[in-house]
Amino acid sequence: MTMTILSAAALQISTDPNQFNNYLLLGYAAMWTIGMIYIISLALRQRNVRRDLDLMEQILQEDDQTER
Amino acid sequence: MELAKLNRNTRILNIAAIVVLAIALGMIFFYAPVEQTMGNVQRIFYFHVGSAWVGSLAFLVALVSGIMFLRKPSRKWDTTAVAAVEIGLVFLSMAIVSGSVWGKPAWNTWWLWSPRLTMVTIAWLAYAAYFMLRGAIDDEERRGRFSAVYVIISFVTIILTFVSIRILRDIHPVVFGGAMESAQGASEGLQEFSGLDSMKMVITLNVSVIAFTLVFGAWMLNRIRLQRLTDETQILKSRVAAQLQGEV
Repeated sequence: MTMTILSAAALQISTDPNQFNNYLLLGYAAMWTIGMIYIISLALRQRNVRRDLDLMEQILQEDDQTER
Repeated sequence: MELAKLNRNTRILNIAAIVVLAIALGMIFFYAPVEQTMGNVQRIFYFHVGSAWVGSLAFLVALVSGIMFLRKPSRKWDTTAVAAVEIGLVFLSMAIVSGSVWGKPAWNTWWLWSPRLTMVTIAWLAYAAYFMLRGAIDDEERRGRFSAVYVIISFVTIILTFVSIRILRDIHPVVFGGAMESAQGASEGLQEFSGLDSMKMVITLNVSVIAFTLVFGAWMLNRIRLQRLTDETQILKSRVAAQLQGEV
């Protein structure tokens, strides 16, 4: 009896490879989300630093011109 | 302003990472066969292992940078360590989340406090604390030295995470070099998934690992560049502040 139940369960698993596909989608979605958040955070930090850098260079240039 | 532009190597690595990642994805879904026990959900495994591998690699890079910094203090080693720890944490988070999602159908629970899962949590917390330590020290030289020592000691958690499933009874499968342990675990009913069934799976896994390694390389170059830009901005801010003080 036990063997019949176990083999039926095994057969069900082997014949239905798609039964956990929602977890497959969830797993990949979660990983991509984490990766994308990091890429966006890198891009935003880079944009802010560039703005700061441009502003500082502009202030220094203006200051140089005023001194002349 | 040369720093503001992406250099050639970074651009090439960015493109290579995207291309190989796309190839890996294609292989995972169209080339690798369906795993007999778990079905299609086992395909999470290729990215899970890839991200876990790169997480460990990143912390190894941080360890080496820490050692190099202590031998010869230099801003570049400190920057490399910061970039590696930050990226390592991102990949470790990916591995933990994907493992948890895989665990639900495999073990019928999202989380278990098994030795491997407990150790990886400790490792994640240890490396997250690295940034708290850095934030708490103002002096650059001291911050670099303390961070280097901390990052070297923290690597113990990665070693323990790696060996935990090999020396302790654990539900987590042993994938690399663990045929005996896997077989033993499977016979004890500990593991649902006990290895790679076919050569196609092994090839797909290798391509995924290469793809993740390239992504790691690309992110490292971008993150290091960002740090250099930040340092450059700090220097200019100090100059502007000094000039303004002089004017007052």
